[in-house]
Amino acid sequence: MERSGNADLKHLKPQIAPFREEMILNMGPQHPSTHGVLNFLIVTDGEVIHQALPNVGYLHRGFEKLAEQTPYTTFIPYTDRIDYLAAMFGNHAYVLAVEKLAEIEVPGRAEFLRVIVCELNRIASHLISTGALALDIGATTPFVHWIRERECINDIMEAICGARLTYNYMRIGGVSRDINESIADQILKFLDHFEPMIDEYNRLISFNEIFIKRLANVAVISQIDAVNFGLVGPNLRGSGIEMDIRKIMPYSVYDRFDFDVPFGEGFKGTLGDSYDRYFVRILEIKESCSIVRQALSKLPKGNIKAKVKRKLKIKENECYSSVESARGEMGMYLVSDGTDKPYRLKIKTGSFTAMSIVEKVSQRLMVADLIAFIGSLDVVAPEIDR
Amino acid sequence: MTQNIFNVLTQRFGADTILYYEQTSFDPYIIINPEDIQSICMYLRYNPELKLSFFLNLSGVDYPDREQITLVYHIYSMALKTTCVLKTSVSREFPELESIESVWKAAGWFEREIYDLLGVSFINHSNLKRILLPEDWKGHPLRKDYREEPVYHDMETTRNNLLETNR
Amino acid sequence: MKDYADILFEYLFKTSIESSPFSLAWYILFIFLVAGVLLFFAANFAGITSFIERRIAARIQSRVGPNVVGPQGVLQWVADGIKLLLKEDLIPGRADRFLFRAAPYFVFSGLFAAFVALPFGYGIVAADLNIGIYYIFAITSLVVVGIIMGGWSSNSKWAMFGAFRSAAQIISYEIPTALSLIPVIMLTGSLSTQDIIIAQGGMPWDWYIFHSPFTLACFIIFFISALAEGNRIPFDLPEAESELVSGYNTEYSGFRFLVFPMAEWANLWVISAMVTLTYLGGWQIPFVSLETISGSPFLILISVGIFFVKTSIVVFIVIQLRWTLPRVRVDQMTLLCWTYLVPISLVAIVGTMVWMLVFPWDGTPGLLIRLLMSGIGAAACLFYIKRIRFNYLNDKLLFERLKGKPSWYPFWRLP
Repeated sequence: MERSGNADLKHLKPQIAPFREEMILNMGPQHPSTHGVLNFLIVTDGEVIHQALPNVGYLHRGFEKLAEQTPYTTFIPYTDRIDYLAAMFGNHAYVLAVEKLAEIEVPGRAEFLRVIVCELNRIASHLISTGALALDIGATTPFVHWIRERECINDIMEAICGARLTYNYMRIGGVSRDINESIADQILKFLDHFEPMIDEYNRLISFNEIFIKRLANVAVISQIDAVNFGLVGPNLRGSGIEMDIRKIMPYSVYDRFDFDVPFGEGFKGTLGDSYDRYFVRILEIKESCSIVRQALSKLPKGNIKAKVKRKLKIKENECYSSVESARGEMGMYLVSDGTDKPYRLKIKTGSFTAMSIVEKVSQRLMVADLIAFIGSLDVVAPEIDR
Repeated sequence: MTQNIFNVLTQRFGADTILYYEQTSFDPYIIINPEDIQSICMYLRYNPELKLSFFLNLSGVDYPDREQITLVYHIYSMALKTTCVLKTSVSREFPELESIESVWKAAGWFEREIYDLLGVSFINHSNLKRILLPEDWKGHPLRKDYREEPVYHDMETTRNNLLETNR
Repeated sequence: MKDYADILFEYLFKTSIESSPFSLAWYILFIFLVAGVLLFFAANFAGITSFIERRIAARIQSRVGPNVVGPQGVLQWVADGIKLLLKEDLIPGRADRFLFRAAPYFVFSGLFAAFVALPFGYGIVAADLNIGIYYIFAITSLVVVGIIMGGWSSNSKWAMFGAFRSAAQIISYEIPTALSLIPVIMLTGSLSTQDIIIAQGGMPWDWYIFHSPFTLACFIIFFISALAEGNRIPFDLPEAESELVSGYNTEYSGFRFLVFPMAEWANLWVISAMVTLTYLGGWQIPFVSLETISGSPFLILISVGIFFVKTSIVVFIVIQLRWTLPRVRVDQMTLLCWTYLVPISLVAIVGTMVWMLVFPWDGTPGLLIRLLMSGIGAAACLFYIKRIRFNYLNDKLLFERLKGKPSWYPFWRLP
């Protein structure tokens, strides 16, 4: 079946077997929504969806095959582009895996710097995802406000590592550049300005009656379904399950910080609906702000990078390391074979499993609810396809 | 903890299905006979002591020198807070394995991806179709001996080296 | 308007119009002149509203908006119009060509014909129909035909979705619109727009909005239903961007596309004008009685100005609502209409009937109630202004903390 145009939908008719009043719609790969290039084949009778099949793969770039031909030290820019909205986490997962295999010890200052930029990137990613959800629901203003705040984070990142979206900041054994007093002041000033903005944003949209009516009790994911389908991150925590990689399998220096992990409690409706997942992200932004403050106050002095050979060869071994990205758990399974290139690198992302649950949960939703559901799941297409 | 799981499994299934337990420095893994994978996973999931209910990852590694494709399962138990790694191998000429989608629904899409990129087909899978590549793609790219077709839908997949043509 | 035509003929040609053989030609010429003036006004208003809406939206979103074309960007709408005129005239391959071409005409004529019955000042109304109010919103339902034609003939499932949603929405909300106007009509005793305004007075407590609690409820219902009639957020589903790309006008380009948003902005004016004339007192000047207005042309111009000011305030509120609120879902919209708005308006009709029969609403108790309610209305406006000042001071404080400079700009200097 060719992947082009409207003609292939007719091939689907015997497979999906719609009834006489049903029609197959194509919520196509191009649509004015910020979740990336996603395609849904919707079998509907007008407004109520009977079946919604996700059709992914428009953004498959073959990272895993590329990794087999790229030396360890030069693969880091590729990891930015796995999820470009939360690029630091891709970096972090990859260098953690390599350092685990090669048994490299990372200096303390580098670890704290990694935590600072990762949490700032988590804030930036959640800003986009909550703003895009509001935009899909119809409120255009919150998205623009959030983009304005994210500009401050982009300026900070530009001062730290020179890039605004895909950072290429971490190296095997540490980070690439150090921060000085002025950047630390800039970060603190931004946090002082930003934390009251969260309350203003909540006043604008989070507690708006129409917004709550659009999201509460919509697309409820029960706890059993969430665990069964392997959801991770705010999607899983929105259903009330307490699982955060930073707490249960602490990596880097996260065990030295004091922070809560917010869970969904059915804030405005049932437990596990779209509003829970949305509000968990808002609460996580607040927690990340406090982690950045603690990290800045505890930042030790020292090197920012351990001495690593330029041509890093790792003997035959394998390991699995995971970080808590903005969209859930990003895991890297790395198999080495003694040369300077990996033998196999498998990237596991949170959006991949989140897409697999769309087919089951969207059975009785309306078309407008499907948009809200996908927005609340916070999928980005490059993470699914890699 | 993996030693514990290994002992429990050997007690239940016998030593010829649970083949080997490798104590590496990072992630110890258990090698399993591929024919019993579904029953072993069902037992692991619903065993009240182990409760390995959370499916983390499923990867496929191609070893052409051993004529094998190895599948690596990472499963997590929230009650015991441990990860368990299982490995099975299938042959490269007849890569078929039983699907564990009935145990963890999350494995459904992972298995589709392995079918797409490595060519391992899973029995009893509800929707085994290509997921990342177009449906009419030929070949399985993640294999080590993969060669791309020269033409796809009237598009040539090779290009002249620009440095030589513009000399 | 006929009086003005006669006066103008006598002034120009120095003979009485009844004795002249050219009276028919003069009347026809005058009709075309008035129609041209109205269309000119409506089209210009649509364009200027688009510019104002973009500037207000930018101000709400803390950015600047169009300020390049012309001084402060006021000619932006002219540039947009010229650009859309120059675009390629595209009809999709398998579209129904005749209906595709005809749909914009229906939408256009349905909305611009409503300007005929709007009273702009004392005696300044293109046609003083004795069914004025019902004529206005009966003729605006012609856009439903145009929208369905546009959606169907585009030969695209998503366009059809938008068209059907829009048809359901507009037709459903005709009922609360009509029902909530009935108390006003009962209090006036006539359907003519000029009579409704003459029955009100200049002072706020003479307006129908503060006349009784029932009319206040009907004002709110009318406002909400009018928003839904005009496809404005929060009832924006037919044009919901992230779901339907652009609803029924997805496949249109160039000038045909221009007609749809222009009709939407003109509809904005019509809705606001209807709200103003039925509930907010129309062109009545406070402290001045009707006889004095009819005597002096200067006061007539002031009444026109007052009508414009009141309508502009309502337009401003509708624009602010658009950029603040999200949109409701289809079933929530129909739920709102049929289970909340219609029963409440029916109760209000019965209440107004009882009020008119039993309660001495002409005398002192009625005046006291009206003063009380206008006091509540004034308190609501003061609260609104207080909140604006609070937010302004908060933002000023945050800005000083972030940048270290005293403040960014004073509130009267709009960007």
